[in-house]
Amino acid sequence: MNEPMELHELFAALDDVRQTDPQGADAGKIQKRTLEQLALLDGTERPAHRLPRKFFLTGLAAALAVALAACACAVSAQVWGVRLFDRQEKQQLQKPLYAVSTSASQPDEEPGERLLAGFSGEILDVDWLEENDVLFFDEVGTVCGVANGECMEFPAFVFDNGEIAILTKEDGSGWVLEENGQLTLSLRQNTEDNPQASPGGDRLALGVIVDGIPCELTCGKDAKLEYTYTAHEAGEVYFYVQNFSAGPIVIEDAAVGTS
Amino acid sequence: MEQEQLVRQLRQGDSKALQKLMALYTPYLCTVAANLAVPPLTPQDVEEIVSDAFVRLWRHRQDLDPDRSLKGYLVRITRNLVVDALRSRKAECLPLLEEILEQETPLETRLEQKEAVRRLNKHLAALSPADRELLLRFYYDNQRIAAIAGALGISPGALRVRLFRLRAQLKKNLEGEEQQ
Repeated sequence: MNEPMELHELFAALDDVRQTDPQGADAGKIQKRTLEQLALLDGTERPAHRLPRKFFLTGLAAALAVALAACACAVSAQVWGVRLFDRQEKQQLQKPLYAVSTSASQPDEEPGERLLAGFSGEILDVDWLEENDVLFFDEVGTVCGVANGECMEFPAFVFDNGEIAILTKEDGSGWVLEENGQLTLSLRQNTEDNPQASPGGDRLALGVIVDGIPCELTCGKDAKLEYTYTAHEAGEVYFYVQNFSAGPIVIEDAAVGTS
Repeated sequence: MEQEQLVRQLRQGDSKALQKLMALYTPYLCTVAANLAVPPLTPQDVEEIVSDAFVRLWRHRQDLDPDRSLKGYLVRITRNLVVDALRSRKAECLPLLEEILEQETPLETRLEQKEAVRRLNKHLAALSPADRELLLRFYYDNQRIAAIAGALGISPGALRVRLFRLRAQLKKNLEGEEQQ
């Protein structure tokens, strides 16, 4: 055993060597309280993961805010005149229901059971996510770009708290980079036409999915964002953005290009 | 084998396995918590701590090591929760808190736990009944020095010295043998 053991722990591992006395504590009450606590946990528990906790917290928040977000987006579409990041425009914005649910998150389900639909099986390494008990995308969609010379330009889109937009080429594929190859993303938050936006911009995370494995690169409140990703090794790369603010964010002028 | 099965069931989210563990270990964990922190903690505090220990076990069930004793793991959680409870009460419990933390005695060994337990049993069997009783009270029951000294009719100072010697002997047996 590599890990140090406490002697108390080692002694506890002995078979019951003597009578124990609960000393006034009520075993029935303990069991009842424990089961009550577990019942409360059932609705909120998520498995351990490697990615930053904020992914999951915001994901959970997003799940609760879905109804509100749908309403907000519906209104936003008319007010802002932008494409919606929701289920209605499936040509542009596919909306898979993706989750990795293990026994840890869903005690009533079979271990390893997962829900997977749409493109995400191709973009995300589901086995890796599952092996690592990562519940990555609670609310996720893709935004397809339109080629313009060397760049891929993206239509304006709105997404809400916790939601993640994966930026893809027109055919839904990513960018294949060689080792040390570079991919640059630029975008702008439209804060003028978004009544819920902070004047300087809202918190937005940017990450990459490299051969199916997501990794956050940066997170900040800058209204304008430009990031150049350098590949450590050859692979297929997608940029994604995740809304870490309390309200919707309108993304405009997003473009991805190789350097 | 039964433990490995329980761990597997726990990992699969089988709450019946947890209930089985509660039935098995609740009295012992109550003893540990109460011995560590009575009088500052009431029986209700102890119930809460032990319940929280099981909840924590459930939440971390994916990280359980099937080769490591569940009972030992639960004791470690319980001790940590007692320490947390005492910390939250600040000044009045500081001396007790220090005493508990001083009792932490990590065993630097590469032994598998089963082998360590086998050697521990062998070591205990070779001790005099009085010394065995002392070690079990301190490490198994988690009794405090003052309580043991009172029960055995010796001074706390003398008890500390005896414990120190017994611990050194025990660690030598557990850690030394592996190098043979």
